Amino acid sequence: MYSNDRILTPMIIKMNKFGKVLISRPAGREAWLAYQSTLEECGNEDFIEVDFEGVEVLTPSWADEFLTPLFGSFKNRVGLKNTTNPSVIESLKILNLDR
Amino acid sequence: MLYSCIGMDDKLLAIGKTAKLLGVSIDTLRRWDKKGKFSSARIGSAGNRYYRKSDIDLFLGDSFAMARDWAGNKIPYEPDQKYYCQTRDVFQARLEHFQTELLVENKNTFPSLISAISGEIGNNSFDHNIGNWPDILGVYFLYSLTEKKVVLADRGLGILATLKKVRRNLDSHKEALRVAFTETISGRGLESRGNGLKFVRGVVMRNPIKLFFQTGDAVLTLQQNEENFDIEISEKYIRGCIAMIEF
Repeated sequence: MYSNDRILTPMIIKMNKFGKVLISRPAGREAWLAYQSTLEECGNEDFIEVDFEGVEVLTPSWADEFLTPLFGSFKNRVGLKNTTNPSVIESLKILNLDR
Repeated sequence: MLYSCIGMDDKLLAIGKTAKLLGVSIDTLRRWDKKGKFSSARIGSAGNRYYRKSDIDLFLGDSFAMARDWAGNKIPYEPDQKYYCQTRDVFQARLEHFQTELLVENKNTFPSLISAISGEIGNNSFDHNIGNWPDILGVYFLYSLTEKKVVLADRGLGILATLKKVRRNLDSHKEALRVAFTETISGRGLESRGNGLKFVRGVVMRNPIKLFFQTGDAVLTLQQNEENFDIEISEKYIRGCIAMIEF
């Protein structure tokens, strides 16, 4: 029962908690490093949902430092949500993360 | 400049009035005068500074020329604080302000993409020059919502010098600029990706945006639906990079 609950409730990463304008590599890298302790709480079979609501600007540089390693670590257990912002769409596209 | 050199038809404005018109401080105007960047006329026994209205109009009308002068001038000088982002933090703060203003002015267009490509170009300057700036640190960042344009410039190493670190056979600014905008390559040794300028190109090609980008003597102009990738050679040399985005 417990394990089923965990599968049904994925870990949600609210990207706007890192800011509304996510542009530089160092800021993306810092976000990734700072989030490690939170990601450690994620079990081996848990899913992660990345929610872009409230993000006004995303660049490939920032995304490459955060999303690329996230997908590298959790692979097909990562899902994306609220990706309608044009800069989010274009950044995901160039990094081949627009699944 | 001597008063006698000025034609009688030229209207002269005092330094305080000129500072207000240009949106800079009086100290900045004095500094620019000393460096020959924007010369005054010295009048009277006290040598008060006055400025020709025609010079002010020229200065105001061509913000790109102002940035280009800063980026290409053999004598390095710090730009006016209004446009100067010495560190990445200052650039981030000003870009966020720009994004906020863009959202208010352009609700129906594409502010996020304009901010994103401005951010990529500006941050590229920091990424590739940190610790190695030849003289003046940071980027020049100017935008005008009425003219719908953004100008970014740096006095960094330039794309050729940066990419030569990982691709030694590059021997011209033209080829370096082509590689930067078409191939996934990074001049930073341990970094596997270099997508920034490819991203900029893709956004420009898919949206009503025009881009001018110069490094060294190589000039690239791009616009929506333009598949051609022509790089021209400019007579004016810029060691670092200068970009103008029109939207």
